[in-house]
Amino acid sequence: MWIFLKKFFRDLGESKGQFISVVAVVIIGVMFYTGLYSALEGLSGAGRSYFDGYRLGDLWGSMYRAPEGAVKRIEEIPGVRMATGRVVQDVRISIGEKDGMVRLISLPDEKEDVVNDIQMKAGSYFSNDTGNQCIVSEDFFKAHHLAMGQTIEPIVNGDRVKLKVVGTAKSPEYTYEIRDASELIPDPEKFGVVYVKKSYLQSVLNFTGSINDISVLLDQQSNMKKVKDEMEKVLKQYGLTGIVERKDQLSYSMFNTDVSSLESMAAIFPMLFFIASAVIIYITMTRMIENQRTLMGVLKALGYSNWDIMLHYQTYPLLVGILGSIIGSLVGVYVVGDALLGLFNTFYNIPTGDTAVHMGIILPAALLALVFCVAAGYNACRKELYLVPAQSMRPKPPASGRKLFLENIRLLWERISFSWKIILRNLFRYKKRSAMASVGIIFSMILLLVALGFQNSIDFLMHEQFEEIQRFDIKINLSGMMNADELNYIRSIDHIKTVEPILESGMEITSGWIKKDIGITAYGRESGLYGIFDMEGNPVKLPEEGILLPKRLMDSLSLQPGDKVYLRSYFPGKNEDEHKKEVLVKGATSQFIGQSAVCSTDYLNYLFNESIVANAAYIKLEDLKYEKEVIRRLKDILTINTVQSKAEVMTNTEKTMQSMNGIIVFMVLGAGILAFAVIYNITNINIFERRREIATLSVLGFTDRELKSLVFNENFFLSIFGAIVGIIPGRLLTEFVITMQTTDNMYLPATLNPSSYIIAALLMIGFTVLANLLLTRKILSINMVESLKSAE
Amino acid sequence: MTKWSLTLGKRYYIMTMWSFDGCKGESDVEPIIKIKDVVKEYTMGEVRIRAADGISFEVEKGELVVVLGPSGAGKSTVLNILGGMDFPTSGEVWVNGKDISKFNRNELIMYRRRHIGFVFQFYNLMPNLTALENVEIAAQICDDPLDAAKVLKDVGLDERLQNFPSQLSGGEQQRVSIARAVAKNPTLLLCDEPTGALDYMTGKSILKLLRDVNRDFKKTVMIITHNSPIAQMADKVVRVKNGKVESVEINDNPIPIERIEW
Repeated sequence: MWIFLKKFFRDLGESKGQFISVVAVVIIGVMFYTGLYSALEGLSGAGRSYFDGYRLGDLWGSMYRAPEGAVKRIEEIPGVRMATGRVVQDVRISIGEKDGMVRLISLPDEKEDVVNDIQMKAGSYFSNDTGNQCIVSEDFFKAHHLAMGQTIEPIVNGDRVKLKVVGTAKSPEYTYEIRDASELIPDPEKFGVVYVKKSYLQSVLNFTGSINDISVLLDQQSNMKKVKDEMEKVLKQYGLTGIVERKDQLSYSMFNTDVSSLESMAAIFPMLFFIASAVIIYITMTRMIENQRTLMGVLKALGYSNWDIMLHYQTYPLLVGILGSIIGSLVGVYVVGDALLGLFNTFYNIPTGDTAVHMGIILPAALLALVFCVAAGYNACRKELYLVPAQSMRPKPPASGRKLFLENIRLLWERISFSWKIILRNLFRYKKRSAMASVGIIFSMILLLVALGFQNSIDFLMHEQFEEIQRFDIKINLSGMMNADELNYIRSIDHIKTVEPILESGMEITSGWIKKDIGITAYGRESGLYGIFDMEGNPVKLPEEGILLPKRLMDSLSLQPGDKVYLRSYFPGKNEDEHKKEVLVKGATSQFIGQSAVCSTDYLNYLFNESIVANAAYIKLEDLKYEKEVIRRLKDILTINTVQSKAEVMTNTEKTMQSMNGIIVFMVLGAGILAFAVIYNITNINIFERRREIATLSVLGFTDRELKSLVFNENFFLSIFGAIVGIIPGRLLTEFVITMQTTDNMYLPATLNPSSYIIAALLMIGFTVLANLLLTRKILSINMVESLKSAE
Repeated sequence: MTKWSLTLGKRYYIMTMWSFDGCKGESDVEPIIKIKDVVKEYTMGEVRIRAADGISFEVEKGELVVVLGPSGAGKSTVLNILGGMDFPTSGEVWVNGKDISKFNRNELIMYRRRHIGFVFQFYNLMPNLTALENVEIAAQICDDPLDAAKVLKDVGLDERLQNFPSQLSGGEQQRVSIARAVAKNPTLLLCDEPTGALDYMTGKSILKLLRDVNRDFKKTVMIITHNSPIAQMADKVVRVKNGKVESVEINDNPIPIERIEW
């Protein structure tokens, strides 16, 4: 048998380019598959064990102030495994030149098991020495170049409180370290979590004996809804501001979304590549075997069995499959997987460790690749093997020319040049091959469109969010409710053009049986700094009465405009059932980030019998160049809790998007290699099979340019055809993939700019040109004498 | 400077002048082809093969020449070089006053395009062009082609214009191939074993056609064959053996094909 192997490797040596390009396609397929899955596996596995290991809560209740005894009562609720009472407070901090926010969270003075525990990364837990020790989140620690033993000074109730850093930690509660859903991307310089001894934090905040946060861990079989209702009953009297379930908790839901969007990507892309590579292998194998059919006849005549010959011709797909799988998995796991995991690690503080070659991931990919390769090879072989030796040793009957239906349109056909007649007849003569080449090109077009669609959608979201919706420059949060008139002194700061007070609050919305905690934001009716849009993107004016809800929220509550809902606020003293208000839902709004009901300030104040109050404000500057100066002034005002610069949020977001660009470039590259491999292979075979025709034309005196155009125009025809056909499925898949990214917190609108279609089509043509360039030599080096010497 | 001017009239001789670009008109006495000491060596792996070993002969304008020799004698090598498909290792190949052995790749393409009509043993038609289109594709790139349909009619295929090669018999395909060569209106018609793949009767009719083309179209025709009886139809017979010219005979009384038997 080893003579066969020798023959095989000699055959291979003669068609290196083809072999490499087929292997490349398998590599890409396997690479995407293993890379995505190993990143996914690494992430979700690490996530699960991390969340469980450090007891991430199932429910979070926050309230204005509750006695510590309330924790005991919560723990007595059936189904509750564990409850921990904490004091949680966001405060401002300045470290060096940098200003930011920290969330102070209390932890037991001495180490004990709590819900939402921390994982110590450096230093040690609190000691008995002093009260003012703190443990800082690792990222915040690094971002500010802190040192152990250093003192940080957050401003609590207007006073600087000195806290000594004794350790760094990570926590499953803040794998995604952002303050609230309105911040898209973590920025460890601006926000971090600082854990403080409970007794100390209580005394500093005048909370001795009290807490404002209870996190609850449930038994496995307990009824989440029941426990939540019971909790509500207990905590209502303490000014309950909201109960959050684990699935809605920021870190957890962000994490889950990404895992599921990865899963959807992992399902689609490797499949596309696999199908494309199967198609290429199929074409290559069929041609290869057809060109060797005389040889197969000889082998059969010599007495080799079909099985022997089949085995010999399966060496090619087997080698392609095995080589492609091995290289693909290695690159997939160690390069793509690691890169993706690294990307996620910059978002989530999950100790993921390294990706590993995981047989459970690689085997299916390798098997799938092999099955595709071998099936293609088998199919190609079978046809020839059924011939009797005498028949297969005879040359193949000449390919028949046939008239096309197109030729009936005389006017058109007579105007077509010969080379186009040859091209068109060729394309239709080998319908199957043309169709398969188109399939490969259509797949690449689809991939290109999805990649570009991702980019477009993100750009669109950024533009809408930061240009159309958030028209302000600075947002401030006040330390409490205040009369809108009190904002006047902010207006008096130099370089501030306008200040618009807003009111942000949590609410419970009831529609029929369904209850949901939502945010509500009230704006002035003539708000110029915040854009509200309907689903068609038209600006909406706030109604005098009633509220507007985000479309997705309306859908989940099955509400129609004109329906009525009940709202209950969490304001202490106004949170009883009798304070529930019936409210008219006026219409739907489109919101990309967060899900918050909107209404006019007048209406909200009317609802709750308040004078005009606000707890936050939007600020527009005369010019952005004054931003630093104004922010400095604002920070000196004690009633202002946080100052958020839109420009900074934007820069930060864009920074993160750059890593997204990496994925997009990766996909474009993949699509390019795919298109290139398809065109290269098809053309290569084409040239080989038609070398006689090309030689004849060459003898007739066709110039190099005329010969090239004959072969290459066929490629251009196929690419343009494939690009056009790929538009619709590409659009649909883009919509599908991007819709998968939508979460409760973020809605990514699927967008594909017209320019993207053009770019994708141009890229396809570019890849075709590249393949053509590489094949030029093949055409021009056809030896006329050799090719014409013998019968086929 | 004049070009070929040809009518399709039967046995109607028109004095024609042919020239390369920039070539001065020359006298009729000068032979149209002068092959001088052509040597062609191939290196096949480690073996050097001398396919042509100093071949020299001349062809007069309007002659029908048969180059005769056993396979491997070097006759195809000469034909390939003369057809602008290959270069000699050394020697000169003068066609109408120009030494084509000094031509570069592009000059050779233009030479093939304007001056050579090739007839192959295996026809080599474009499988997905009709008979008519196969002739037209050759004619369209020439400066002064003949009407494709008319030439096909002259070779007896007026009923088969719209047929594809796979729908034609071998003889018919060879006729298309000859029509294709003639329609280019070339200086020289080169035929490499034109009857090699055909049966006796068909082969004869093809040879007759070539003779008619030679007479009616006033074409210089060179036929390569190993089939010696065919030599009787030629004006001139060049016998080649072992890469050398064995003899050149002028045949004053060529025998009509119909009377040749083999």
